[in-house]
Amino acid sequence: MTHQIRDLTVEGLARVEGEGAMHVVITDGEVTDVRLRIYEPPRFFEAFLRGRAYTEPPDITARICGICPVAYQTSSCEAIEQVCGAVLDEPLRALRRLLYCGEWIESHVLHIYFLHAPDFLGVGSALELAKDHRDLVEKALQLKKVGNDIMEIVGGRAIHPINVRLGGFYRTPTKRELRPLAERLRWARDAALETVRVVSGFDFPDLEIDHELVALHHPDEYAITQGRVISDRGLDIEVSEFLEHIVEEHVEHSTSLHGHIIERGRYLVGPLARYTLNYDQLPAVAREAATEAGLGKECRNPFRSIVVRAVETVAACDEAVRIIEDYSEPDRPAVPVLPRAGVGHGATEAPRGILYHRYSIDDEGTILEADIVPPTAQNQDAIEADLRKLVTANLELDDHDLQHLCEQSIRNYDPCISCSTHFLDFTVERR
Amino acid sequence: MDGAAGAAPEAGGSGLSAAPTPAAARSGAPSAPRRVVVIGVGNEMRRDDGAGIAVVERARPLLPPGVEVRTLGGEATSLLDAWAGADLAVVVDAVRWDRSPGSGVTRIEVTSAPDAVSGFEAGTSSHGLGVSEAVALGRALDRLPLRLVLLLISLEEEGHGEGLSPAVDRHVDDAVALLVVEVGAGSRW
Repeated sequence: MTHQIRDLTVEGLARVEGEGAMHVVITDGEVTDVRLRIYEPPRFFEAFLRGRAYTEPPDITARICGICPVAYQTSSCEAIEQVCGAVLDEPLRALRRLLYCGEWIESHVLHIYFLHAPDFLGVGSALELAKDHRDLVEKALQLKKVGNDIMEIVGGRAIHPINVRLGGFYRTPTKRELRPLAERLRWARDAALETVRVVSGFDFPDLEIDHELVALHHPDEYAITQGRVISDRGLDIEVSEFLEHIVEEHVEHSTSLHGHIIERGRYLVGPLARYTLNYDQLPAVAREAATEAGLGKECRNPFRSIVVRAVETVAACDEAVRIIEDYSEPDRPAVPVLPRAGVGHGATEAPRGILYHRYSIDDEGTILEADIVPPTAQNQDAIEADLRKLVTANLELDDHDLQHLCEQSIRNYDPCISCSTHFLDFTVERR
Repeated sequence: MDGAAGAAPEAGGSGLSAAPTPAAARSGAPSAPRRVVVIGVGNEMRRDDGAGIAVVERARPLLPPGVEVRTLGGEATSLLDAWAGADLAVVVDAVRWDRSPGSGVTRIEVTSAPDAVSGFEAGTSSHGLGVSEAVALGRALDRLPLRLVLLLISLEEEGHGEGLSPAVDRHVDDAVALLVVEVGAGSRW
């Protein structure tokens, strides 16, 4: 039997965090294989943390990812505070959420304008975008800077914040220090609303996903730093039950682990899941922007994730303003967190989705075990499924256009592969 | 200016201009306070990718008062913020260097040799936008500092873990010397 074969190879997938590999095989017009290959150093950080002091994970894990250090810091703090029975004073909890809003603004604006928008505006890179749409990029830089400013004032510096510790902070900002931020955040909220209007005008390829959507849920706020883990198919568990329902499996083509829900399989975390599961908790200004942008109460087209990120940026700016307006200076910068033997779990909503940490420590505070489940590892299966569906529906495209569509599809998820891998190239093989 | 390790910035070469000399400062009119920013780029948990940060940390006690020292992951737009409004910015980064791997420290005066900002990529990518993209973006948006100097260290190992490879560790000392001279000259003119 003679097979019709077409090969297409792309070295290096632009505009995703880190590096990895994607391989698509088409045989006789049928998609026969789609693999996201992840070359993960064997759980380096988890091994690195064993034997360390319980106070160290916030600083160490913050270095796993340059884009979402606050997510790593916060998930590790939440987990270890749970072991030690520490509960943050309300103003400290609010500050932690404010810091996280800063990271959302930074990360979302970076992805929207510099990584994802070029796909929709027909330019090859952020540099071309800067040349063709200078005003847009200037505004994006100002907007992102407001996120940086939150990180600097609350976190101590914009990258790898140094002011975070178990139980809170080394130093908390004064009301006077935060006040100018509120004014800039009001501007940022308007800029984010404008962003929603701009990106909602893009043309979006048709793709409807049926992955189980999983996100944190909090009844009183759009969940970021705390909540139960819920899904659109009935999952509703405490964070401490995460690994009883989610299993990480080795797959042959990857040294990374794929996350699956036990007995149900593939699931998706990130903006689409958060938006769909927590629409009612969005601040009114964000819900109105979403309606104006044509989003319903659910969004299952990953290409529209750029609109959802913009809506979430509005929400983060609005929430940050509210936190600053309500801020009362804490009586102490941190609550005491004393070691005691046990196992603790923490999960927060990193910009790309749930980031879960689990630590086992002894009564002197030495770390015995560490588990970290980053969002991109959880989404790998869903990304592969999307590619399979997309390639199947677009086989008539020539190699160049098909490749572009696949790359765009991968970027829909803003994969932070450096959190879980080290190398990415992209191959489409038609047999 | 490949293989420039240990050379003073004034050595120039390959179209890369010399830093202004102290003599120029002495002959010039008094000027407003200068803003000098030193930026170490990288990730200390990715072996040699931490070289840029190691350089600025080792150089910190040797730098004149008032010089801002920053450490960044290397994401392009953060660099634009970090050097905004600076009279002199020196960025130290570890890179994969396609034209002369293992060449030690390379100095590029961006202002006078923009074409030299190519042929390398960040050690551990941040969404594919690193130092060279930051320079290109800064140029397109008029967001470059008055003078921008890159000190680039050719990396050898970038696996996970702490600690520099022995060769890169030596190059870090070379880069510290270059940085101190660069900033000393830049702070005075």
